[in-house]
Amino acid sequence: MQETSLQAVHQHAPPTSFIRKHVFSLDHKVIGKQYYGLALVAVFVGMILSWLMRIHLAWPTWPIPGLDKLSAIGAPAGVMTPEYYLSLMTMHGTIMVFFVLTNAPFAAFGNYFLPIQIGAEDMAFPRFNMMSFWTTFTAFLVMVAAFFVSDGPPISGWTAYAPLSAIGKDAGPGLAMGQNLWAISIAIFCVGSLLGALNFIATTLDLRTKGMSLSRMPYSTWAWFVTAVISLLAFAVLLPACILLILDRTAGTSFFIASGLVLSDHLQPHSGGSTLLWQHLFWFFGHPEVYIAILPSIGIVATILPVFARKPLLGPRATIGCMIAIGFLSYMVWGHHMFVSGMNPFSANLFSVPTLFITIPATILTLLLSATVYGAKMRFHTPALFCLGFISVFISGGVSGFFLAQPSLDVYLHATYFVVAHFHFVMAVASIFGVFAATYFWFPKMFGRMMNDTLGKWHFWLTFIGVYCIFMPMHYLGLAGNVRRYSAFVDDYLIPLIPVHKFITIAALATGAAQFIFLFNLIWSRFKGPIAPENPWEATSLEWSTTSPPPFDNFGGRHMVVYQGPNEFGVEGSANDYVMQTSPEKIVSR
Amino acid sequence: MQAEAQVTLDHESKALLSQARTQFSASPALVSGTTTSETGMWVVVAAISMSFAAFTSSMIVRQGSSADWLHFHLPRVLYVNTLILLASSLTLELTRRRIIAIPATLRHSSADAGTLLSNGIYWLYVTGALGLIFILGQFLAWRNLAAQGLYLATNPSSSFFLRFHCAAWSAFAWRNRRAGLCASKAYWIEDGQCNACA
Repeated sequence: MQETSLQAVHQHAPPTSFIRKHVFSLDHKVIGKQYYGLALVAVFVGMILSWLMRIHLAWPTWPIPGLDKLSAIGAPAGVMTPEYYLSLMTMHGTIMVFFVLTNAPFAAFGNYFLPIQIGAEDMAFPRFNMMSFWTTFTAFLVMVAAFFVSDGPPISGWTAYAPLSAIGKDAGPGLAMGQNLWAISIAIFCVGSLLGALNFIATTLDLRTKGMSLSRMPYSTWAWFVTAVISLLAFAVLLPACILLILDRTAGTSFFIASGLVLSDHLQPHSGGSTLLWQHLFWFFGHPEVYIAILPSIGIVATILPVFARKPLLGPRATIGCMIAIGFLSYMVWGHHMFVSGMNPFSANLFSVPTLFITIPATILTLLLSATVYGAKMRFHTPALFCLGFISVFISGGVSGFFLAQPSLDVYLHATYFVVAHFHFVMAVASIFGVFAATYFWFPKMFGRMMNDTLGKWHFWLTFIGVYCIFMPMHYLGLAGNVRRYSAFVDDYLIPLIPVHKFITIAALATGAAQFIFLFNLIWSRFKGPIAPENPWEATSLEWSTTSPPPFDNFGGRHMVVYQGPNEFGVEGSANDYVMQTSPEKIVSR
Repeated sequence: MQAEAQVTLDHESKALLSQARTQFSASPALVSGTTTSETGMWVVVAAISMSFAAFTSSMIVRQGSSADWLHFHLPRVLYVNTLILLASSLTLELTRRRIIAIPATLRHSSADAGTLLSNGIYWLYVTGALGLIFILGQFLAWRNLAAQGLYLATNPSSSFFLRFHCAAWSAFAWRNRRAGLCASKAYWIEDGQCNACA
């Protein structure tokens, strides 16, 4: 079943010093945990920012204790100015999209489990892997530093639309040093992501163990691989875009700034640039970024759900095909973010059609996941609940995408809370549910201890109900014409909607508070949780063939040989109802 | 030059080649056709291609977005630099061919393998020298442009020109980093383990 390999040559020796073991480690498992830790810090920063915004939206005159300490100008006496609201919105979006949704499902879990799931001892380029994390960490520090410069964080949104982002302090608060730090941080982040993608691709292609054909790779590995390809091509475009933006801001070039722009009574010394050029470059990255966030979670759910359904995933090849199709189509739809930019209606249709096409593989995926559960004797542990929750929020968010994909409807809905509801459901919440499922599922393997299932279920139900209370009403707000990016709703037609905002704010505070259950469970289980066996969930993939947690070289000197796909559940005639990937057992019937 | 390198190797080659033989035989995956380094190289080429595609499309959009685009004459040294760039690719390939032939040669002759190694390193130094000449040429070209009053912010054409050159430098530096790995394997031999990109 397993061979001891004389040829197993680890690319680097086990570390001995504390620094090499826990800080500048080359071990993919440590780097994966570092990414997870960074994402965890980032998600709480982002969540607190959303709390501040939500409190202000519901009760705009309430002083928030301590906020004036963060910015005396942005929040005098604790009441934030409209500009500071935009600063917090920018930082919330940026931190969540880049440092949470990109890091947690892809970089964190991918780093830890991709090599193990394909039977490798480490990533292909461990030094680049270490550089990738520390580059990303540096990017995070630079981004957070924007809170502490004199003009505060930028107000241009996570999309940093030019010319707002390309001009200095004349354009508004936060657009001097704050915007510089934003652009530099994202450029650094791009470098880290490119190094990470390089590693994922080379590792998947070259370091698969004997018998681990592409078709036998677990779905999570497939998802990380496809995401790495998307990531490589997307961040390779955002990086030059950021460099051009930095040059416009600091070197006097005019890539994104048009002629004759007068701001704060100053004629801007730029001419001839194209503001739309930034939007094209940004969204050419930005839309694939949506799939960088969501595809790993799709793969994670496709891997975890059959374990708890005790049934093979329906349509394994179709699942992989759909993930590839989504990755491919993600590069053809960026213009649907620009329907209201004055785009030629014919061009808009050109982007609308592939956007509607992309719903086909996405729908097939959700149907396959749902059909896998049909008739199953589910084991309702916390990871399974989060997988089911993922399907629910992915469908809820995806359905609103049908509307937004049509230019005529998007023109009305684009600047409203309908869009906020859509992308939070389909991109943020769905992705985070995948991360939660992965955390509860793989925690025993990563730390050698089980998480508390009861606390996990409380966490699930409070979060699941909470996110619906937050984001479902936003659809109705959007349909009622409630504009987004406003810090307060003082217009006549918006005043009747304020009670809805108050409800959403209370739901956001409660849902956020529920995350502390998760945090407590995570920390408590790390030290006090029951000792985890090697394969507590009776799963089939390679990580469950090694100790919990795995040794330094992942398999303790063994060279794993793979005989099965990852999908062998519900097998009749077997000693168990599943067959491990490393088992040479011949499967007769299911 | 080659004879001198051979003499140097005579002092070191026995231990090095013995170590190399052990390593090569112990780790056949690392001497087979496709290595992670090669895959990584192609992945990097894909990323750099995307970045240049982004720059190029930006240039086309910017050129068409306003009538302020000015054309200027390129400094002649850039044409020489293009030839140097091509020549350095050639010498890098000469290095690579010698280095990858070492494992097969090692099986029957340590001396021949040593010669290949010394030749490979020789062409690697030539590549490095060409790289330095290229950088000098770029410096002269930029001085020439500055003398004409063409700076980064002078005109969108000069902005893109200089930006492209910075990007090309980065790509060139990356390629030479790869060259610095001695086509990955010579470095490996000297260090006694595969350090290629690791």
